[in-house]
Amino acid sequence: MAGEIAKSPAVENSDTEEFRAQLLAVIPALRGFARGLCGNRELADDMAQDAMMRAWAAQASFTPGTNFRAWIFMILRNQFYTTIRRNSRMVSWDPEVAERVLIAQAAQHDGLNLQDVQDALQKLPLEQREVLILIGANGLSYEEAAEVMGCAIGTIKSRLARGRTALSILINGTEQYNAELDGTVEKPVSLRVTAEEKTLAARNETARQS
Amino acid sequence: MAKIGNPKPPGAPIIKAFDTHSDPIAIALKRLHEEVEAEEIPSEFLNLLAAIDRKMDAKAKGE
Repeated sequence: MAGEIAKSPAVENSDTEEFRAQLLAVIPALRGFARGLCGNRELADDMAQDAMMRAWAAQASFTPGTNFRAWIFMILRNQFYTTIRRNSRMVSWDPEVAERVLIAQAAQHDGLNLQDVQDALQKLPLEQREVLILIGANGLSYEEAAEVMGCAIGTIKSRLARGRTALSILINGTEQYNAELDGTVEKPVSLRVTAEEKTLAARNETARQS
Repeated sequence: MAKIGNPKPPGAPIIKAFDTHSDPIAIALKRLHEEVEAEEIPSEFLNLLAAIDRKMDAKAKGE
């Protein structure tokens, strides 16, 4: 790249080894992030491997000493969005069907079991799901999540709050959620499902059937 | 006449804090993530790293 200070071969090799070590170390978290995004093990692992290859190819654009995890999460996320946009034309979208599914899923459950959480997570709008995964599951800070998602910290906070509310309602039902609020009345939460969500649900269904 | 606007009392935070250590949703999300992290890394990933190693070796020999 023009203007970049040339590195000696020894320094370059050391950077490459460091990069490789970071790539190895991030695999479990990367798989977890991908699994949370798409809800399908095979698809998630394909996405994670693809992100690793892209990261390797783009390593010159990574600045050693900066946040590697946020950088590779961003690569995976961008690729995920590209994939679902590309495939969205192939899937017919029926919002009424999606709404019925969401209402059925909003039935109350006694406990908070992981399968309920996993299922409910996949029914959230993508932007809420990913912020819950990044901060709730991966433990990223608001700043890191904002870096990965390319938006302001305020946006992260509001998506997180909306996502947490929607997830709680999907898992526990509205009555328990309202009780959690200690008597305050909460407006109904929009549980809209985007075309991308529908695409992904259809892909997951296809993967399950095959 | 129905009240409109924010039903929260004055001074209440607009966005409820999401405590990742005590919030049951956060704890469940963390456990889900930990389950994936605890899985053995599939061989495809190790094969990919091996391919990277080969590229590194080839590059080093080329220099």
